[in-house]
Amino acid sequence: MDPPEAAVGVLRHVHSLLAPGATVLHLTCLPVSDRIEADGHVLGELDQAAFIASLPVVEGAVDLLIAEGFLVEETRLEHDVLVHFSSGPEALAHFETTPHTRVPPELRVVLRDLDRPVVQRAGCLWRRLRVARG
Amino acid sequence: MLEVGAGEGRLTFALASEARSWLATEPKPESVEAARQGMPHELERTVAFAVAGGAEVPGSPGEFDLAFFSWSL
Repeated sequence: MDPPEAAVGVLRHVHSLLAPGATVLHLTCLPVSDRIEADGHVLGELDQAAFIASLPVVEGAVDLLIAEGFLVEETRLEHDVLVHFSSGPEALAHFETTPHTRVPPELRVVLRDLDRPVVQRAGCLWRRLRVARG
Repeated sequence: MLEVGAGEGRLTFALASEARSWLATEPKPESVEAARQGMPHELERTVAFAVAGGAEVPGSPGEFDLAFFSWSL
């Protein structure tokens, strides 16, 4: 699948503003649904199918500029990002306004009455790239 | 340093003290306004915010040494 034109356009524009040898840091999500945890136990997963469907093509925009020789990839690092909430209802309120995210009914029931800290665990990808010289 | 998609400045404020100058861009005016309101005093000489989509980021050719995209491409 071709990368989205808009993402490629943004990368090309930003590339034009960078000095030769400059660094590009790109942080994005891995194509996995976020896990919701409390007290170290997994309560469930968000339904982020619509969001995940858009991810590979966005990464493809970076890959295109690498293939064209404008950027050189130096490092890839997969890691988790944790978002902390003081309670289930606070987490639920946040998820309900997050684009492309649906809370499955069984997880909604658990969060609605949970009066303990909740953690959202998202799988992320860091890429460090270098603007090619010459 | 150029940040594309700064939102309300959460990562900007965490990282900008390491930079000589930092331009944080964000397409949503309300997010930029919130970021300006929340700017720590000690970063006022380092950080500038601009309302701009990624394809309209202001600057001249070769101006930046580092670009940072956080969930923003």
